[in-house]
Formats: sequence, structure tokens, C-alpha cells
Amino acid sequence: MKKIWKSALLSLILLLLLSACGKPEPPQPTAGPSAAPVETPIPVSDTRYLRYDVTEEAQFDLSYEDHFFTETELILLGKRKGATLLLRVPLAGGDAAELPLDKAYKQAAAGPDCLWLGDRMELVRLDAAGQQTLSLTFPELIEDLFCDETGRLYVAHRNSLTLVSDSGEKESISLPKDYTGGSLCRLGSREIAVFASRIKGPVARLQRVSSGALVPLDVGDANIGVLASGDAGADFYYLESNYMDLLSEAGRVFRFSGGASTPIFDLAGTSREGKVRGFCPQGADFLLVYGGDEGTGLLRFTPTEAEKKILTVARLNNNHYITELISRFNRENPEYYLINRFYLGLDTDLMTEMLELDILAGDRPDLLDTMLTNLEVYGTKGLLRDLYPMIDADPTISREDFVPSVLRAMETENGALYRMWPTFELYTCIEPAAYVGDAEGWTPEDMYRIMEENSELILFGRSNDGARALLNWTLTGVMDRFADFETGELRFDTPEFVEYLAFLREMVERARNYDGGDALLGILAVGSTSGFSRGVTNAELADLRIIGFPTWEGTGLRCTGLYSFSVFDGTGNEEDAWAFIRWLLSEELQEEAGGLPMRRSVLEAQLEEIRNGAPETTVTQFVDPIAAASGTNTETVTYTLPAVPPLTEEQLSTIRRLLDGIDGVYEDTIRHPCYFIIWEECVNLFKDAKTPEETARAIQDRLTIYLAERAS
Amino acid sequence: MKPKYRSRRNSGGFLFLLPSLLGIGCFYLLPFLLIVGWSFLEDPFKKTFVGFQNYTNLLYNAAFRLAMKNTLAFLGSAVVSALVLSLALALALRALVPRSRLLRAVLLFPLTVPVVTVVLLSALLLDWYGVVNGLRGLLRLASVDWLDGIHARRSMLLLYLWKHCGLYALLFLSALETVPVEEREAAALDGAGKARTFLHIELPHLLPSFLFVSLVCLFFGFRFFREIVLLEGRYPTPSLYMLQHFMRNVFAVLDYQKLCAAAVLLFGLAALALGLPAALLRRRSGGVEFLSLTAGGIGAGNGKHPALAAVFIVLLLLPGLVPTLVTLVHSLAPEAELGARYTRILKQIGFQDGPVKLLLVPQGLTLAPYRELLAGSPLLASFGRSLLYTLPALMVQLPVAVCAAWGFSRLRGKGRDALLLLYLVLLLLPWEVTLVPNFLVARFLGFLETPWAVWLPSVFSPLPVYLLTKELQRLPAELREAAALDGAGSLRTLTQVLLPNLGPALAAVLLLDFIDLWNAVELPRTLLRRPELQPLSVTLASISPEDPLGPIFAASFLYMLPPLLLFALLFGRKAKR
Repeated sequence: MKKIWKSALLSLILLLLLSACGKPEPPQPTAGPSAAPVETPIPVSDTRYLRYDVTEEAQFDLSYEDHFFTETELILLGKRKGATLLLRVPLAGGDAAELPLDKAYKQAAAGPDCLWLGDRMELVRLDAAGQQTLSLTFPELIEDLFCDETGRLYVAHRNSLTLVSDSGEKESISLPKDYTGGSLCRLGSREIAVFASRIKGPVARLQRVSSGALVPLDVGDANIGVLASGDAGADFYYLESNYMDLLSEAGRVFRFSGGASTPIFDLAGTSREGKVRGFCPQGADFLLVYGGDEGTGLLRFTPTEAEKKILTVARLNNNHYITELISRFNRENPEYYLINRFYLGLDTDLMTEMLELDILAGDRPDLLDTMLTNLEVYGTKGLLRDLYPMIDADPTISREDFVPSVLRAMETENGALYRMWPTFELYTCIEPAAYVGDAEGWTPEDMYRIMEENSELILFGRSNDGARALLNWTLTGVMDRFADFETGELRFDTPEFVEYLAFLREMVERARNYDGGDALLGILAVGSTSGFSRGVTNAELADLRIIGFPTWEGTGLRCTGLYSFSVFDGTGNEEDAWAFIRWLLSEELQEEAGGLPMRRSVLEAQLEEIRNGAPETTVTQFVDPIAAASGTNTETVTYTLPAVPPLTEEQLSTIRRLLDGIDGVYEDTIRHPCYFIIWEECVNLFKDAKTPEETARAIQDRLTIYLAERAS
Repeated sequence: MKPKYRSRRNSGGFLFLLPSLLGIGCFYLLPFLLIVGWSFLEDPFKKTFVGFQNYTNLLYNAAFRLAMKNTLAFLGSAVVSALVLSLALALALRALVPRSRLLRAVLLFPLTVPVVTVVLLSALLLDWYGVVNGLRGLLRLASVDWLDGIHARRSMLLLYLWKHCGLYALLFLSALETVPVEEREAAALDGAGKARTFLHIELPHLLPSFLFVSLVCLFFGFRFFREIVLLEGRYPTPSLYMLQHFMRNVFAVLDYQKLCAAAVLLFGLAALALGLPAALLRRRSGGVEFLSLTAGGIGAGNGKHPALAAVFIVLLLLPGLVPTLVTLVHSLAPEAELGARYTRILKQIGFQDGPVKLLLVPQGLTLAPYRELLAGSPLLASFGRSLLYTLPALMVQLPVAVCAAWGFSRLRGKGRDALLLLYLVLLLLPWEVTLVPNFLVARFLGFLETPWAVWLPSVFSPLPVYLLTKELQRLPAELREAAALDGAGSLRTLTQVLLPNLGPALAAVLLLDFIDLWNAVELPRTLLRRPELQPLSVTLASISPEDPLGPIFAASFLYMLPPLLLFALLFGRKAKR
């Protein structure tokens, strides 16, 4: 027995050792300019807060280097025309005093009657008259400086923290292994703390200096982007981490006190642009410094009487464009604040499960970013609002304002509208006219016949997706024929489906033996009117026809949303959530957004624009726009968009015919749970493990279970 | 009227049982009661009382009926075949290699293989283009789809037997070793042969073990579902569509009322099915000598058939060691070689051109996957978290379970048996049943996305309580009576008299619990949610087609080491003694 307990003890020791590398800690971003974008899956708090407006602002002709807030002034360090300057800005108002400096200092901190300036590994102290009274060097680069009321200076390095006494004596404290030092701040308890980021992962923590040692401070789920000193009411303040900590991201400022974070206000109250460098409370107000190479500014945020309407959006993806869009909504609509609630897990099933568990627990978000979820289920359960009554009740918009074919395609089979795409893409296929002739539509039988008559043809160009692409692009046109999920009728065991499977297998075989030659089908994805114009013109030049996917019913023209939102029912915020969607559908947004606009007026205007064509355009853009914004990667790429030729009336009418003919959503087929069953069985078919008849039977059997599960 | 001493004894028993009862109540019973309540509502959103409507609907639901039929068929065939096979294995082991403790340890190797490795290797072996069909091709036999139709259930059954029969064989072996030598000798003196001795002397002694092993079979049978899902997906071939599929799928479409009604029916069925065996177990002297890796090999065998023994050893070593060795070899193989062989078959992309060949001798050995793993790979952090979630839970779980078992053995009356049966039934409920209530409890207690969410339900697991209770019941009453005569109180009797006699049982429970917690997937997956909090069992089970295979095999091998080390620790301890 003793041995067992010894083993247990040994295990405990092992555990403690391992916990150093594997202990789960809440993810937090690294501090400082190299901050990595990390989302909080569940917001710290959805507590309501007041709206803050910018009541004062000042601009300084100074590229930003560092800043330091004292009780009475803001000290700004920066450069103007290559010369380093120090500005002392009185917080109570008045002109800023300038102090030219002889060296390109990078850090500044102010103490009682003195000023500390840092440059790489050197540090100098100036007295009130600007005379140098002390000079020190360090073995490590200086990351940040902070001087407390007693005149003791704290110097943060990557691996250590140095305490410098008034007489210049240094005392070094090492940071925990694997952590790298960053910003310094003063806690509400008057202790100084350093922000330490985990090197091997997005985990950060505060280390407070206590009796000459560093003590970790549990910051819970605080998602710290920019840190600010605390006061009597808070241990510290922080701006939540966003991609770049830019003003335009309209992040929220939190108070951290007693182990919990509470939002105080957000930065949506300004149209200024720049990176947030720091902030500090001043009474009920907050002063905020922002800037970069282009200049530096100071803003005063003052509370108003108005309370913010807080909305949450469930996000099952990390699409940066949607994140930016939400930031923009927050910035342009100061009465609202839309919070991302990310459900990012190891797989789609887990992400959906997380959302559904929250729903079952009564914690329903206001909006749903629906690209990855099964809308039909939520709609049937009454969890989502039908958007048609909301459109009808909105005096600023009506159903007739939207592209009717796409609106119909977005509906469920019972005629409800549970999703809205601000923009869309059209998916169809292009075929050589030599094979398909002048027909405006074709059935799978036509496709079978053409392929049979032309044994040298393959169906699609062989792609990395191989057999899967064959299934995806053909199934989208034929699925409806074999499955009616509304009535629960399945016809996968019919000769028609067996014939389809036999055809697919034949096509896979042809693709396996492919050694050059034509493909019957090419995919045309149209996401802009100019792209439309090029597609139609090129197709004409190459004698190709655009007639949709082979189908027995409808046109075979499919569409997909670039992003999509739904409104949850029963939250009490449905009308406010609709305000967000209405904003997405505003003409201004529609004109700027990528993809084909949902609003007919905007689409018509864009079609009119391309009628006369457009010249060749040269575009230069950053390879990595996010890195470019932080200055870490300003590499650009230049490319030329070919000229858009003027359109003939016939071409224009082809475009209109294609747009009007859209009658299905591509994702509704290939993201349907049944699709995966069909794919799994088709894998067996393509392996020759099953005949088409056996495959059809297996699909029918498995889908019967799928439907039986849902039967009431 | 109840005697005073019994009342004192019962209240003392309850005190010992209290921590476990509170935990069971909070993390198992309360969630289950919530489910019972919800099963009478139209759905969790509308909250309209509909009486037994959900049950009626469920019984008429074709998917539920199919799932129930398949689950019963699979569990039935698993239990019967596992009992027969493991008993045969135990008898052969006793007859041919009675003193090989190493071989006994090898029997447990399959249990240490992580789920994802089981799935990867099964796919490589059983796929249409897999190794087995490759071998059939060499013999000019037609390929068979081992993962489809009727073959799929057989394949899964085989996989289940491979993974668990070693454990069951050890349980039988331990039970065989408890048969009094005097009885065997008496039978021999009466002229009984080996067969008659087995039938008339040993088999009656094994009856409680049959029931006990059946329970363990069921326990692991429900847990085996995760392998089936990973290999066959959420909508498997109809012959493999189980109750857990039904529950998981109806939850995914928010048909929670169906899940609740199914859970209650399953509970009732389990209570009914277990009530009788439990009663039988109670009547018999009960329990088994737990898997004695540590037992000394006092069997009836004499090891007089060296050739047969050699064949037997090889047959045992092959399934026991090969997966571990294959994982090791794969973890040392260059990524390009792994990718070239397996990418298509494992990731189902592109066109597969022919049978895959299992990599047994790589063209070159490399430590690159391990270097990548140690250079801060998320898999290594996941491994650390696996230890973090398993070891503390285990260290608290054992004292709680020992106290609870002691409490149970002090209690008297019918209530005790009912309570123990409740533990047993709760133990067998699949995770899908309590998914939502467990989430709600963790959320209510503020443990969501913290290690506590995993630790607390694990600490109060009914498994060790049940096993230790049965073991305490097996200990001679004289031990307690002697302690009482010496003036020892409850605590002293437990710590100084009974615990030293529970050594092998504690080791066995430690082993079973470790394996159970170490391989946990559903609990951490749902309650920890975020990828950066997940243990290796979950991370490995969620590999993406884009992930390189080398570090996955390296992590899988690393994942096998702690259970193997634990085996070695337990095995080495006794060997030394």
C-alpha cells in the first residue's frame, strides 16, 4: 500500500511539473504591438453600460513612441521630422510644453521631479531642469518603464524586471520561464505589475511585484489588449484584445476588480483612426492616447445618460471580414454594441453542440451567423424569427427591394425566411456549345447522353478534390428529385438514382484514366457584376454556354451567401437585432461589400455601370493587410484587372436571365447532413466495394434512419 | 424494532458514504432527475406538460426501435462472446503459462491503445483498400467491405473483444485462483478429471464472476460507442446504429424530449436487467479477487506443454503487442512515407489506386515527429492536460470510493441494496444521457471550461465505489470482528485492518479508473469546450485531414506510456515482493 501512495505522491510531483507546461489557462492575447488576435469564446460579461462620447480631443504633430500618464499631465515621447521630442500635456487643459531631446529615446516615464528616458539598453534620468542626473545600462532591451510615487523605477525587459532605486541601484527579478515581459502598470493596491505573455501559446498573466518577488495575479477570463493602471475602484483597467487594438475596432474598456471584469464603455464614440496606445481614468472620464507614424492624439471619453443596447452574435467561424463588419456597425451605430460570441471548437459538431447547450441553458444569443449551422432545425423549433414579418413591418425596406430569385431561394420549404445574406454569389456551370447546343436548360439524361456519345470527354477537370467534386457539382442539381425532407419521401432506391450512381462511377473511372482532353463542365462562380461581365464575354468568345447544373426540376442555377445572419426569437432584442441586418442591407454597405448585392437598386446600378465596360485597372494592395496595419509586413502585391468589355444587350439579358433563374442554394445540398451519408456511400461505390444498386439501397436505408429520427 | 447497534452502525455508514452520496447526487442523480422531468415536457423551450406522449412517440419511432434492437444485439453478443472467449483464455493461460505475469500484463495492452489509434489502425486494416483485403487479394479471395453491412457489426465486435477480453480473462483468472485448493484436491481424490473438476467445483465458484464480468462488459460496451462513431460516423450502416447514435443525433436537432424519454427507458431497462444479477451477486459470497496482475499464479496448470504454450504465447502477444509496436514504428517513420501510404485511405480524398500496405519497416527512422512534438506542439500540451485531468481526480476518487465502500459495507437493510443498484445503473448510463444536465450543473457551479468540470464528476464516479464495495463484502467478517474486539473504531478498522487487505483490489480499481479517465472523450469535450483546454484523448480524436500523421502517431505512442507505466508499477511491485 505504501508503494501505491508513494506512486501517487510521485504522480503529484510529476503533475506539478507538467502543469507548468500543460496547465490550461484562459487564453489571453500577448500585450504590446505584437498582440495576437485571440477571441474570447464566451464574453466576460454582457452587463449593460453607458454610452461614452468624445467630449475633447487633441492632435499632436508627433509620431508616437511612448507615453506616460501622471496625476496632472500626459508625457508624450515621439518624433517630428526626424527629431525626438517630449511633450508635456497638462490634463486640465492648456498648451503642451515641448522638450527637444538629443537622442532617439523609445520609452519615457515620469517620477517626482524627474524624467526617465530609455533607449534600447540605456536609461537616463533628467531632473526638472532637463539635466541628466543618472545613466544606467542593462544587459537586456528595455520594453517599458514605470515610476512610482516614491521615485522607484520599474524597468520591464523580455525576461526580467529591474527595480531601480533613487540612487540608481538595480535589483533584477526574473520572469517565469516561458513568459516574456511587456507593459507595466500600477494596480489599485499601488503595487506595480508587469504584463507577461506566454511564449508558446496565447496565454498571458499579470505578475505583481511584492516584496521584491513576482507574484502571479489571477486575471480570470480578462482578454487584455491594452493595460491601464488601476485606482481606488479597480485593480486595473484594460481594453479588450482585438485584432490590432485600433480605435476603429471599437473595443470595450473593462474594469478588473475583485477577480471579475466589468465593461465600462466602448470606443465606438469616435471616428478617429489609429492604434490605441494607452488610457487612464480621470474622474468619471477616460483619457485615451492613440497614434502611430501619422501622428498622435488624445481623446476624452465622457459618460452620457444613454445606456447601450448590448447584442450578441453567435459566431461559428472566425471570418475576419465579419468581425470588421461588426466593429463598423458598433462604430456607426453608437446606440448599439454587438458582441461576438465565438463558438470555435475542434470540429463543427462540437461548435454546434456548444451553441445548442447555451440555448438549452437559456442563454440565447440575439443573432446567429448561420453559414455553418442547420437553419431548418432552428426554424422548425421556433428558435429563429421569420424575417418576412420584420421586413414587412420596417418602413424603410420591403420585399420588393431584394433580388426576388435569391430571396425565394433563401426561404425554407414552408415559406419562412430565417436567414439574410447582404450579398451573394451565383454558382453555375459552363459547357461547350458544341455539346449542349442552344438549349437553355438540360437534364441529367442530356448529360449522360453527351458523355456516352463522347467517350474521350471527362465530366470535370480533374481537381484535388477528385471524386468529391464530381458528386458535389452534380448532386446539387438532382438532390430534390430523390429527397423531399418536408414530406419525408425518399427515392434513392429508384432506377433513376441507380443510373445516376452508375454514371458517377463511370465518370470517376474516366477521371482516373485521364490523360488529357476536354471536360464537359466548368464551374462559374460569379461574385461581382464585373466578374459577371467577364464571364459572359469570355464564354461567348470560347463558344461556351451558361445554362446551370443539369437538373430535372428548375434551372439548376445556384447561389450562395458570402455571409449570412439570422435573428433568434425570444430574446427580447429581436427588433434591435433586425436593426443590424437592416444596416447590412443599407445601400451604402451594399455598394461597398464584396459579392453581388441583395438590393435590387444597387444591383441594377452596378449592372448599368458595367454596360459600358471598364478600362484595365492596376491594383496594389498589402499582402497581409493586418500585418501591414501594424507595420510588421508592408510587402505589397500589384496586379492588373483586365478591362471589362462593354456589354451587348444580349449579354446583359443573359446576365439578367441567370440572376432571375436562381432557384436553389448550393450549401443547402452540400452542407446537408444527408449529403455526408451519400458521400460516404459513394466512396464505397468509387472503390468498387459496392455496386450502384447496393449503394442506392444503403443510401436509402441510412437516410430512412435520418428521417425516422426526426419523425414525431 | 431496529436494534440500537444497527442504528449506530447505519449512521456511521452514512457518514462514510456521505461525500460520495453528495457527489453522486449532484453530478449523476440530479442530472438524471432533470431528465426524468424533461421527458414529460413537449420540449425544453415550450415547457408544456405532455404526460407520456414522448414515451409513446418514442416507442413508435422506427429509428429508436432499430437503435434499441441493435444495442441489445451488440451488447448481448459482446457479453456472451466476451464471457466465453475470456474464460477460455483464462483457462488456457492457467493451463499453459500459469506463472507468466508478463503475459498477463500484455493482455491489458489493448486497453491502453488510444481510441484514435484504434480507429486509425482499424481503418488501415479493414478498409476496402486495407491490409486485410490486401492479404485476401494475395490469396485470390474477393475483397470484403469489413466496415459495412453485417461485416461491420462483426468487425466492431472483434475490435471490442480484442480490446477488452484480456481484462476479462484476468478477472476470470483471479476468480479461478480463489477456488479453495482443498476442494480441487478433494475432487482429484474422488477421481474427478480436469473437466469434471472444472464443471462441478470451479464453475459454481465462478458464478459471481460471470455476473460481475458481464457488468464490466456492459460498462465497456457502452463506452465502446466512441470507437464506432469515429469509424462509422453519426449515421452508420443500419446494423451498427446504436442507442447512442439515436441520442446524439436527436440532441443535434434539439429533439431533447426524445433523448430524455430514451434515457429514462434505458435507465428502467438497465435497472431491470441489473436488479436480478445484483440480487444473485448479493446472495453468493460475492465479488471476485480483482485482477491480480499481482496474483502469484497458483493455478492448476503445470506448464507441461511447452510447444503448445509457445503457440499460445505468440497468439497472445500478437494482438497485445502489435498495435503498440505498429504505433511506435509509425511514429518513427518519415512523414513523406506515411503520407504516401495512408493519406488517401485515411482522408478519403482523391482517387485511391490500390491496396494500402502497412508500414512495418520504414525506409528510414526519424525522431522528427518527437522533436516536433517536444518543440511546443499543442499535442504535448494536451498530453500535459490529460495528466492534469486524470491524476488529481484519481487521487481524490480513491479515498472517496474507499470511504463510500466502507459505508456501504456497514449499512444494513434493503435500502443499501437499492442504493448500490442505483450506483450500478447510473454507472451504466451512457454519457449522452446526462450531457445537457451535466452541462447545466457545471455552468451553475461555475466550473465550465475549468478542470473542475472534469474532476468533480470523475471523483464521484460510481465505478470504484461499486467495485470496492463488492471487494469489502468479500473480506472475511472475522477481520472486522477482531478489530472491534481490539477496540478499533470505524476509521481504524478501515485504515489499519481492511485497507491493507484491499491492496490488489485498490490496484485494480486504480488501473480501471485510470484507463476510464485517461480515455475520456465526451466529458472533457463538452464541458471544457475550448481546443486549448482539451486533453490528448479529445485532441487525438479530432484530428483534421490537414494534420501531419507523424506527430499524431508520436503523440499516440506517448499517450500509451502512462497506462503502461502504471501497469509496470503494479506488476513490478508484486514481482519484487
